[in-house]
Amino acid sequence: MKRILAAIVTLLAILVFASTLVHALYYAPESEIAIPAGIASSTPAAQASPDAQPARLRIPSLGIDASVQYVGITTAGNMGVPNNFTDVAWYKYGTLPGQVGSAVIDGHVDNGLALAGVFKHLADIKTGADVYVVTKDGTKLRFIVESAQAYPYKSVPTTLLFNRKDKARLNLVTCSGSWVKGDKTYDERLVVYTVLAS
Amino acid sequence: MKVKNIAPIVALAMLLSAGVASAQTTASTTPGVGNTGAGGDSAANMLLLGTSALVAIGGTAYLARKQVKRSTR
Repeated sequence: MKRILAAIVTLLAILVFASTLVHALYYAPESEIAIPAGIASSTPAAQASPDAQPARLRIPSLGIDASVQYVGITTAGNMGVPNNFTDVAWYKYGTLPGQVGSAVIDGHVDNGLALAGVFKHLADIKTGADVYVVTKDGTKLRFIVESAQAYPYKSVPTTLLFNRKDKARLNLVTCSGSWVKGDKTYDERLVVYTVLAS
Repeated sequence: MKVKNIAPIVALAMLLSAGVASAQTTASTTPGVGNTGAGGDSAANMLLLGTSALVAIGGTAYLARKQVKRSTR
């Protein structure tokens, strides 16, 4: 009996260890809501060719060369985030990078063990730096950093972030500031505004 | 599904529908900004990793010792 109990406890401990390690280091899934197909297909990005969708994000000055996931809207009503700490994620119900409008890509600043995520050094990006998006058909789009701004996490100007339609914009988002224990998040969001180079 | 989870879905569906109705090819949705950081949980994660590792190692050692005792009878 004792041996059986010990075996069960040992097995549970191994499972807890493995699960915690995987989620802390590698895997950060978030549930998204299901958008009705008819509505999802009417967004600007959906009406463009699938080959124009982003495949990689490169920021040479920061040493970033990341694969791009496609995210929608979570059950909390927020833009989804990458399900790991090394990829970035493009908001698929908004604008395609390269289209007139505001394409948005986010990425994690760190993982569950406080090790660097893909956007760990995004705050170091300089005005005028190059940001590249490589699409599925191999087209390389060059964007130039206009500015960077940190906002309190509860008052990010989402209209500015998602809805400006004056130019072809690409906005990069990640967490910054200090950890808010109760809400399990950082207290700021860093937004880097870039525009398509002519 | 909880009521608080239905609200953003309904709101989004209405937004998307309005966008489709008013501007055929320029429907836009404006979500909030997601949570892109997990480092603040590192202390709790390390505690959990440490504790579960100790239990796993201790349990494995206990079972191994029992197995050795049984096999030497």
